[in-house]
Amino acid sequence: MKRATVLAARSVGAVVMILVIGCASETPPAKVAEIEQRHLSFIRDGATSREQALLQLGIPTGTFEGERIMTWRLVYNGEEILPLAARHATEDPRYTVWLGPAYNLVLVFDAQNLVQRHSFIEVR
Amino acid sequence: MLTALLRSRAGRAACCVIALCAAAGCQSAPGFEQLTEPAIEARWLPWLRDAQTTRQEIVRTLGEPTQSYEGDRLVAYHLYLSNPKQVVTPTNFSTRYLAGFGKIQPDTQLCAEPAAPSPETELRVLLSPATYGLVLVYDRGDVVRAHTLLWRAR
Repeated sequence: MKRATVLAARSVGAVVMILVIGCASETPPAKVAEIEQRHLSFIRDGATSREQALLQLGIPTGTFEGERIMTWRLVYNGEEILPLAARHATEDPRYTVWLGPAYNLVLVFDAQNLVQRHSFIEVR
Repeated sequence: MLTALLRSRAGRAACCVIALCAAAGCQSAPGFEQLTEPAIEARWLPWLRDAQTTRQEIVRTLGEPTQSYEGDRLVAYHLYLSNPKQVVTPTNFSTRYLAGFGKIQPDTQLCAEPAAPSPETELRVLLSPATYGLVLVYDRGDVVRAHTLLWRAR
């Protein structure tokens, strides 16, 4: 009886610890629209050029239909938005502990190399 | 003197500690400051200047670009750091990855990844502590009009 009580107390303690650690380490996720407004406001349909996009965001992760559609895989660290490399080593310990969300930015360009339309979505 | 040191137990222990510290020092990762874009540009790309550097100079130094757009008006290079003295093979790669890239040495190079990299180059890219994207915009006279270097998260 006494042993069962000790075990139960330890279990409750463990659960409380996990909850406390979980609450302490979890930061509220930034909303997609908020990130877009803060860091991608330079993208305006009909106005932003491919040159501007490349200079701001770096090398796209993917290019489709020639150069008409370009995509960037991005991560947000709370302060800035960073392009994510297309390849990474599975042995990379940084990758195994990386828990943050990633985002996909898709830009569709017109014949004048201006952004025709775009989308910014969170991916898991 | 070394022989005398090795004769005593305390001396041997001290030698072991020194050797371990030296080994750990050799494997320590480069500091974040060394990997920032301004640090990389200052050390490896000081010759790259808007309105001055030509396409010919770029190709002579970095080789053919990894990607190009709008008829070569915009070009991009995938860049990575490599310690040439570190031998990387598929068999030792995993161990080396966990051991780390090691310190940035005087002979550490900033290399451009070719469009079709060799298996060894691919391993070196993965081993690099950071990779970068260099985007160059040329004017009609093939002179760099604007450029940007961005760290690529992994």
